[in-house]
Amino acid sequence: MPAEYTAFHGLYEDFMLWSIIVGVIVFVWMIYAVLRFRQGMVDESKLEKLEPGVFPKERDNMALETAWIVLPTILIAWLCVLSWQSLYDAWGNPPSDEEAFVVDVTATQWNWAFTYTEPITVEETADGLPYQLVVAVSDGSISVSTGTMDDVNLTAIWTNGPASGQFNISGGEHTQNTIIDLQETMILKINDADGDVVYSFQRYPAQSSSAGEVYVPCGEDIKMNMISERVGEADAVLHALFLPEWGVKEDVVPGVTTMLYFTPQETGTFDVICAEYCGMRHAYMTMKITVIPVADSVYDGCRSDA
Amino acid sequence: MMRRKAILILAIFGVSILLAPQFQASPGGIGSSVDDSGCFCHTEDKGTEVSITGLPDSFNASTEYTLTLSVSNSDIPGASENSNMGGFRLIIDGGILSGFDQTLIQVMDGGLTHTELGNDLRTWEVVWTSPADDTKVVEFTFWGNAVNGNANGANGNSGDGYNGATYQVAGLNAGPIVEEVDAKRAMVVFLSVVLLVLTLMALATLYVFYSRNPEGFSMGNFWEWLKGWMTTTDHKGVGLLYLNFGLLFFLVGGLLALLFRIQLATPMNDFLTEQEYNSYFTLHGTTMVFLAAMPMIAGFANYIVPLQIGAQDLAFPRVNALGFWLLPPAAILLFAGIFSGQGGDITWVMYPPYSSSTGGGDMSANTGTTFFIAGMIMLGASSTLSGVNFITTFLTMRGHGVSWMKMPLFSWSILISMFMLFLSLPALVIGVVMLFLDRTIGSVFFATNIGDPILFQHLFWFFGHPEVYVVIVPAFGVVSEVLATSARRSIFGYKSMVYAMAGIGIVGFIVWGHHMLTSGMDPQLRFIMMATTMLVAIPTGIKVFNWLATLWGGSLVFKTHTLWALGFLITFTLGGISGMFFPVAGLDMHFHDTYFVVAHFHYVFVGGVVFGLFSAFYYWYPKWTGRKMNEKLGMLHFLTSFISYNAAFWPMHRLGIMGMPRRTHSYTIDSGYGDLNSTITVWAIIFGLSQLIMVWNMIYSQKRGQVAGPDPWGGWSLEWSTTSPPPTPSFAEIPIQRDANTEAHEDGWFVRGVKRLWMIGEKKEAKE
Repeated sequence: MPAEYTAFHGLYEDFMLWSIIVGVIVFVWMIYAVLRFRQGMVDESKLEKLEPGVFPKERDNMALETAWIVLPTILIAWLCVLSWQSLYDAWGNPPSDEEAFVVDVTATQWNWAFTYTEPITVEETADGLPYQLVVAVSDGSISVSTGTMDDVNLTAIWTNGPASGQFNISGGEHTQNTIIDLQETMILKINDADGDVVYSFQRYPAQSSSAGEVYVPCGEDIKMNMISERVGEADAVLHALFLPEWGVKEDVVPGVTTMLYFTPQETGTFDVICAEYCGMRHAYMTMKITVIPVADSVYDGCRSDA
Repeated sequence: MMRRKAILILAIFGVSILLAPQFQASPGGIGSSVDDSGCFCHTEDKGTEVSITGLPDSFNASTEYTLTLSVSNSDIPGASENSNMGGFRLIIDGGILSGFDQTLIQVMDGGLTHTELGNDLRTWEVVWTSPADDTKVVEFTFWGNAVNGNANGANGNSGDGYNGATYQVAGLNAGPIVEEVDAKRAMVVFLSVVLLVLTLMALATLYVFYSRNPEGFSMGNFWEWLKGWMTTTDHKGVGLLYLNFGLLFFLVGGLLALLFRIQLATPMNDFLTEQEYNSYFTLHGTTMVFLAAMPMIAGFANYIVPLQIGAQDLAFPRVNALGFWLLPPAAILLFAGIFSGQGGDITWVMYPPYSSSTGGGDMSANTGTTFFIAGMIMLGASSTLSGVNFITTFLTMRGHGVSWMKMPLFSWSILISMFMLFLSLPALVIGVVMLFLDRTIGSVFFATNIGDPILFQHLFWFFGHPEVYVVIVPAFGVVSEVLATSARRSIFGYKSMVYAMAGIGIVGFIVWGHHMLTSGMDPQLRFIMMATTMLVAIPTGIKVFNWLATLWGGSLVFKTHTLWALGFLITFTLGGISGMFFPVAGLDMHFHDTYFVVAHFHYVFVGGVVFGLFSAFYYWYPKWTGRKMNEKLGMLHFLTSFISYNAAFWPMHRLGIMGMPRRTHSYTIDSGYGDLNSTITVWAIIFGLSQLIMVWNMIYSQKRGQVAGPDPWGGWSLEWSTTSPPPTPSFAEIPIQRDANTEAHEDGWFVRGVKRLWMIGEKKEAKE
């Protein structure tokens, strides 16, 4: 079920309401007619006579028949009015590449690749740590401070483009001066003595792509520009990017750049699904999308993980 | 005499084709052709023994082992040291083979085999270096031939024998060797049941023949009788052929559905492989629409329409028979791929570029797709012939008194559906022919950049949407007849029923884009398609309200066909309501290609078309057999089917809302789809089994049913005025349909009011 703030939610409730109204009218009418006018309840001699080979007496009632042309037409017109705005929202009003957070999507058989057009940093600290973990990553150095001189044994493992390394923090602070280049994908994980991840830092600069999971900032217009590419000898085929959390979906068509946009208003990790049949492993062309908190967002759901 | 000769020549030709691959001795080595089927180049087994010695029980990482490959057969001594004595092929899936004498052994197709010189030996030595990872299990596949060397080169295979063996060697740290589960078991289930169904069909046919005249039964008579059926051009005979064909494929399609329902019953299930799953749901869709629903409709149209409109037969009886006999070969083509495990896996909508892609291995469509598309072309031809035939019949062969607005509603529904079919089919046929050319001769109609993949979607849905009305409109016709007859009344609003069906027929042609709202189509076009799609609800609503008004004040008799018609009303209304969710952009963006769509179209296809056809089966069965179907079995069939049907398909709405995409081989445990899917599977199996009740009822009532007489239900249309079953030709002379509306129609208060308002305007004008 898409999130409550999406256009889907309101429309779904409106349409369910009208569906139930129409359904109740039809079924009450039907049940009454079936029970009330069953054989034995009505004097059959008063009905039209049906004889093989004779076209029976016609029955009609212009007033009633006009009523059930006019009333459904009004209802349909009303439903059109209700849904008109969503048409505009869904397809008619794309944010420009400048104002939105743009992700380039490349669909292949059977993978999604997401390329960022602007950098994104994802930071996560485990809950309930007995110490205050402060980490700063900048070009050329990583510094970690626990704010305590107690015996805290931490291991930091990092990869930065082709480079990688690890160092230990035993109590207090540690600054590792190394060749850190924030123009490359930077991934840092700090484990405690038990091997649990207490802190993770990921930074994807523009033009880097993420595998396995895609990150988008909360509260911003997210725009996905999508293309389909071939792998090996096979032709590029149709896919469809489906994000059930926001109730949006658009086909990825070979040779065309299609587009999809939505605005997440809550943080969390959600499904990415391929909805257009694309061959043998179509069902497994899935991924996760993570909406990361933005501190100064206008939406409550965006400010923190809580 | 001539014929016997011809058969003999053909037989020799056939046998030689079958044997052809065996006439290939391979003194030069054996390639990959033997990997699956064995070394047929040397005819047969004949007690040849093959072995590999020197293999460890479990291997150490990166260690060299010297292996001796040997072939022996004491019955085949081999001519001499210098002529051919033996050959082999060895394939491994781990480690490296090396250290062999390259004059005796060569590498071919990813395995080892003998050379021309190595062909003179029966033992060979190689060194195997085990993989670095000793948690693996390595499999050795070894094929060996014992050759008697009676001839060099071609035709040297007589008296030779081959055999094969596989060895599995586990690394030191590998777990116990797990027996690989046979991945083809679902296929075996499918084939066995199809075989069983065919056998039962054959037995049933025999029984039907036997029961007609138990004393005079002989096989000779039987073949004559069967020949009569196969060459009939009578509309009743062809109609029954269509109906039986449709029912058979209804069961086959249902069986496919049950197989993939079992696959979906639990998360991450592996009952079916992905390829099997994909081709099964493809064939399920195509079978149900083109081989089950359409033939059943064509069957009723064939049998009933000429009787209803007072025609002696259809306009072109031979064309009619041709239309039917195109179906079995089409069905064989559609299913051809599946028997080799390469069934068409392109979904019933056949979207390119996936469906046109070849040569990409697992990433391209299965090879059976070419057959599948060829089958679709034949189906198109068959339907076109039906269309021409029916339209001509309606235009030229109506009986006396059967004017356009005095035609029974079932006939009207067939006329409208045949018109729609005839007008929309060219788009499909053009599309599939282009697709076929793309696949076979490498044309680029739908290729990326050069051609246009979206074009096919337009062509397909320009046909596809009218097509769904082609199958539902006849069900409207059936229900109109059944409800009116059962309520002992004439239908309410006959004229508006006809106009509503025609309206659906016309609007149906301009709504196809709603299937493609998320296809990257121009937004302007999406706006138009949304509005037109909503319009369809108006004529459909008129029909539902008219049916309800028909019941009002009537005297409803609850026969099985009445129950099915009422069931149709319930499920079709639900399906119609859920259909209103799709044209809305904000909802369709989510619902498109999810289980909500699956739920919707099963509500209108099964709850609409199939329930309507079931109603028609019970309603017209007495007409073609002279006996009624058993009411108790009919009730049981209705109750079990109706309950299990709703229990199976209703939860799919929920799955769609949750976001489960359709055409998905499996789903994860944490997706939360598991519970609903298990429920659906159980009910789907019950629904499938309950159809057997109807099949049994049909066979049982053929002989034991209550004798019906010409008009068992009290219907008015012309088919009830002839005997059951009707004679051939159906009417000795063209019948006359009389009309009970003798007096002029009186205006009601509403029409009088409208007319008066109209006249006030005219009067004013006149005054001025």
